[in-house]
Amino acid sequence: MKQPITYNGFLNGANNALNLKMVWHDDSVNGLIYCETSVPAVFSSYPNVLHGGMVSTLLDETCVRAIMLEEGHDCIMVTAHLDVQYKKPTPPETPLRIEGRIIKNSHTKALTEAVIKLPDGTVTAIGTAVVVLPKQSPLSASPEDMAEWQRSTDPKAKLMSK
Amino acid sequence: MIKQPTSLGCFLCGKDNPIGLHMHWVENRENKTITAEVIVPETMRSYPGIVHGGIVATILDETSGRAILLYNEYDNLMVTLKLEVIYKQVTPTNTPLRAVGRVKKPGSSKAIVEADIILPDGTVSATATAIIMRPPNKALLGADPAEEAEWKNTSPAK
Repeated sequence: MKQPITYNGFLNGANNALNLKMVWHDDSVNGLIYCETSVPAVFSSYPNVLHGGMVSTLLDETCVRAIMLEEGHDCIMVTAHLDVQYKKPTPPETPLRIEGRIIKNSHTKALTEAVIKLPDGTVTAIGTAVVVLPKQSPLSASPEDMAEWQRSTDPKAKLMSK
Repeated sequence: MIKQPTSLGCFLCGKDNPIGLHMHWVENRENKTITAEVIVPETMRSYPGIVHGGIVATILDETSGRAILLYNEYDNLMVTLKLEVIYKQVTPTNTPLRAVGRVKKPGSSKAIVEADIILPDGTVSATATAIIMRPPNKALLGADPAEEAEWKNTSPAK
């Protein structure tokens, strides 16, 4: 099941000028979420190496979104702590698969994990995050983002949360 | 204050990167810190008005990694093995931010480095600690002669 997106967010915003338009899916059977993408070379550090911070960005977003597997698509958390281990360089302009899963969930706070995989299955980086539920939805400051999130929420996910 | 070298294509420091942050870092060799100033555009936000946590990590990763150049030669580039970021409060977009890096444990092949992001009122919004290491020769800028030349040309005297 496809996860919702924002209107202007960096990685997934429908209207974001950087146009990355990444999409995450729930795989409830295997207890994970995933995103398949290729990152443009403009996000590199050294030639043919994605910037370590861009690697962190992919892991951070996936860690935050992983919690939606159990808490539903309207549960938007923020990162309090992110730990990234870089195993190998992650190349730009290459099909990547980013997977996220929940390690521990106390509903208002969770420990989540994400990995980046190359086409041959090699894991290039692992992120572990503590994510927390803010008092107010961080999307509430922007009606157009809130509307896009609602519009792009899969009807099946809405039914499940009722 | 001494300006550190920069590249052509890097997302953060590349002068030719069309969507990059075009940052540069200056060294304070007396108090052993490096500093950069940056304003992150709204296109790099997660939630409205908030810099994406990954972009926060990106600035901290680069700033901590560059701090080792206070101790080592400019061509002794390193890569990050492990990065730990603590998000203390939100980092706003379209706001002048200061990134400050320093070295906790110097070394020519492996080091521990740190960085903070500081808001205009002096509040630290996020902080990071990283373990960095030197990769095999020519694994980095050596793969691209134009990048290697740009780095050399912009390197100040030690």
